[in-house]
Amino acid sequence: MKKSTRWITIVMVCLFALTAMVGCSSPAATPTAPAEPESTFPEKPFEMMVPMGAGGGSDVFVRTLVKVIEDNKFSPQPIVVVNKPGGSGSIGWSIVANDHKGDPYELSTVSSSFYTGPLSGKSPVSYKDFTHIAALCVDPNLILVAADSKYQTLDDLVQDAKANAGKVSAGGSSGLSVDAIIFYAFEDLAGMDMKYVPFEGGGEVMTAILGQHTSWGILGPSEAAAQLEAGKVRALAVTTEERLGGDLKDIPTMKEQGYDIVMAQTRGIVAPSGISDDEVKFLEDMVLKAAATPEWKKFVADNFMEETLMNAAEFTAASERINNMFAKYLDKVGQ
Amino acid sequence: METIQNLLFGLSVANDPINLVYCLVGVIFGTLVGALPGLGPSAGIAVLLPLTFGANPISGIIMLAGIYYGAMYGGSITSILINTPGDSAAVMTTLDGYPMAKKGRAGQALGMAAFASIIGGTISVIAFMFLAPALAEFAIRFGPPEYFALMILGLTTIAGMTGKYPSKGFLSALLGLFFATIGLDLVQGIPRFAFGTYHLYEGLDFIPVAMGLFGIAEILTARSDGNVIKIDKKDVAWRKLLPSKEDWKNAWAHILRSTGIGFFIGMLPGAGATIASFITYGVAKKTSKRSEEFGTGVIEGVAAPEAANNSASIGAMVPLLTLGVPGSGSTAIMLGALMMFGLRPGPLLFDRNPDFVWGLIGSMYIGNVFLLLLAILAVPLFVKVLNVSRPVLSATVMSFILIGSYSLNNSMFDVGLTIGFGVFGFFMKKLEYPAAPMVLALVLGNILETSLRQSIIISGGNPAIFFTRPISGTIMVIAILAVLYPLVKKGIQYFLKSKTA
Amino acid sequence: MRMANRVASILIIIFALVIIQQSLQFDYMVEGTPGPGFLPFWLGILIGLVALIPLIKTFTGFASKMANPFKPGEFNDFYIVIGSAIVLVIITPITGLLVALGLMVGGIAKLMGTKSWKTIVGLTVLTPVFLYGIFVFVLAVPLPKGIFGF
Repeated sequence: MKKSTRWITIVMVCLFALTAMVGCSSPAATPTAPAEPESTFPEKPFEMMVPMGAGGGSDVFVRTLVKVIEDNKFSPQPIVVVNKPGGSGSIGWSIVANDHKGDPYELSTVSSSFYTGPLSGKSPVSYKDFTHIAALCVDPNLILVAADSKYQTLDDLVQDAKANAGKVSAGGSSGLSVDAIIFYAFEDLAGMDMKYVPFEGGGEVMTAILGQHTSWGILGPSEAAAQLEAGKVRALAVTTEERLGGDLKDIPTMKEQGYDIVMAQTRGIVAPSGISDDEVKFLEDMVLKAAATPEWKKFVADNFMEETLMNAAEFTAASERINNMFAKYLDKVGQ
Repeated sequence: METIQNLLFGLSVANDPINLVYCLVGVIFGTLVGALPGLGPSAGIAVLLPLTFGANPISGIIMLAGIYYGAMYGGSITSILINTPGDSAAVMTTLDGYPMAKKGRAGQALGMAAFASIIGGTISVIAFMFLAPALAEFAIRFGPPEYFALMILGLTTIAGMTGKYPSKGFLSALLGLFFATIGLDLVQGIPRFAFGTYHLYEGLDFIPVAMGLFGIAEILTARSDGNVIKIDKKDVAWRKLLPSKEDWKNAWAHILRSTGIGFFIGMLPGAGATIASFITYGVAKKTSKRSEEFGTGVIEGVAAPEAANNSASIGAMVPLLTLGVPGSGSTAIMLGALMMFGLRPGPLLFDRNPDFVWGLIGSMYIGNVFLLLLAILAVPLFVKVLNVSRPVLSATVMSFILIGSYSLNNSMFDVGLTIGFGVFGFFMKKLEYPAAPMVLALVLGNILETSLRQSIIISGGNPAIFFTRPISGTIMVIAILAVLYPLVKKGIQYFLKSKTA
Repeated sequence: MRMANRVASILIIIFALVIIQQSLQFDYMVEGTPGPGFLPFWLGILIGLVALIPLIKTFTGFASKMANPFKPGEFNDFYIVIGSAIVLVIITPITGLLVALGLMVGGIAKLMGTKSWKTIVGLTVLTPVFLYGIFVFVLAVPLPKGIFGF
């Protein structure tokens, strides 16, 4: 026992020393900026709950945002990012909404399952149980084929699908997702009969497209950017209202090709319900200030997201709109 | 010779003092999280991700990669010493590693695990360096039918783990397959067998099951089974702790074969180190001269899965860096990290950021050397853990298992689940139901069902798709031969015997 | 052993029937492809059939030769460890996970026969400190906190 505790101590000391070394270069607990004299909020660290696993889209979004806020000292208190994956986010969100009601220090983020979860009866909390702080950007979706696919345009795809009913297949993430909704809406609007193959994530969808295991697939631009740039895949359409900017400006929208499908994943910050207006104002300012920095704008551009800044009121209204849209399409998917 | 030049350049990048420190920290950390029950490489990478933000991307990825392959070795430590797999890829190591420890050969098992890991790792880095882009092209030809065939091949290895009573072994595997169906159905999104709790929507996690069935069950039965391991003071000498010449003779062919298989399976997105270790254990058993002794503590039963999981962890870097497609949970988190660094892994990464790619490759050579030094130095220390008195060891191991299962999803639900599977494992052990087939089936079951349904959707309802596609057809034939081979062998022996008689 | 095996087999068969019954509530086939009920249904049937083999064996002479695995006293460690773990789950909301783990470690060590009080107290105090070092300080895992604030 004595010896084992000794080596354990040695290992621990080494670890502590090394982490301290590494830790020095990261701005962990930055000294607080001069606090506002008239208000004491915030007086303790924030917790930012990511209801998904580390490294995913939501996680990268939140961690980058928190880093920008901390680097620029927009918050006098540190923000701790916590991952609580499970139940497509419903576990994390129900903790925020139910266990932290009225707690302005418990923040979270939204993704499409924030809306689809409660609509399909798989989450006990809906957008109505949250105070909306601000929305920053949307992740659009692309219709993609492999570079050596016979489809040059969306029209080629539609013609082929019509000629070969039930032969053309499409890959997307999971059977109950924005991807699935886009697929069924497209099938419906174009009057085609195709097969939807659900995969477990963007990486698998990309493999299916590249290996031509499915005829086409649906992915976000950030997941497809490297392949697009290298010319390994071709984008036939994008599901935004207007065309994207930058390198992706040549991709036509679904809408301009005659299929009225506008669907994108809104990313923003929410807090539990029942927090005061002053607190909302503070958090809104903090997030929107971060969104105005060049670092943030670079992140948005690098990942081909579309900037759509919304304040608390606009985001609340948008949430209702998004929810209604999902409700409309989910009926179709369910059949 | 461009590759050699690039490698020298990469080594010079990796030799930068800061990068060396990051590499060392990554390897130490990886070994630690790997050894802690419950915390695997993906948890380790996830929790240490924020530490890399202050660093430049090269240092960051060097550290994350170090955690990944370090954890693959670290997982073997607790597997061998206390029959508790530190992470999912180390389950197979318990099958022969722990019996070796019971025989008083813990040192040799740990030493062989270290050498096999490092040899596997180093050979894989070489393969990575020369073949990465070409291999990536091959990896994407694996679609749902190919995965299904691979899972079937994996399931055939169960036949080798059923222990004394085949029916109980198969029952254990079938229950494992059933556990894999728990959770939200991927196609329709409806919850199955979730008992009304959101916690089971993402499915039954492998870690609570493995820790309950192996770790807790071992604690509950150790004393009554009389598994008291004592290490003599004089045995804790270096020479006695390292694998003997005979061990090497038995193991080296398995290390090389498992490295190849492990690297290849690791490269396939979605398959990963765990499945690689399962399949190589099965292959080692089939090809070994003393296959009937597997499970009683043979050295190649440790060498094969350990070589495989380390080479798989490096194989998983191939699709990550050349395609931007993560091959495992751990590399998915690394992809997120790279995106935060502002890098975009994909076909152009090798051309645009050569310092990054080659620096990483260089660091993997250096990291494997670190890992070897660390492992060899630490073996005598680890072995001393076995000298701790049984009650104290049981108590502390239990605390590690429970806190480890908590940190999996930061949830007490998983703690309860782990305890529940501990109870289940106790009864399984007492009634001689082997646990390994259940765990294996749980890992394979999810991909098995998903790929089956995806394939049938693609083929429009025709199951012939598994045989008409060249790669999946080949794997299916191998799987069928693997099942038939023992029967055929017996038949031939019987035939020859009857002829000579 | 004979009885234990028989009970286990019967429990498994009942479980298999539950699986079959449950899986019938999901779609077996969807548009010509296997639905969510397909695999569970067949697994239920296979589990039920395979579980018959050990059950039948208990009626042959074979099984009776084996020793009974559940001798008196074999459950001691089971009660101690599982009991302590359940206590841990119950008190964690009050004491926090680290304190609960310390108490559990001390409790298991004492009940399993450690004599020295020094060792027991040392374990109770040092285990949480050590776990704090790794899991909170280094790995930043948000452990459940209790009334003591840690």
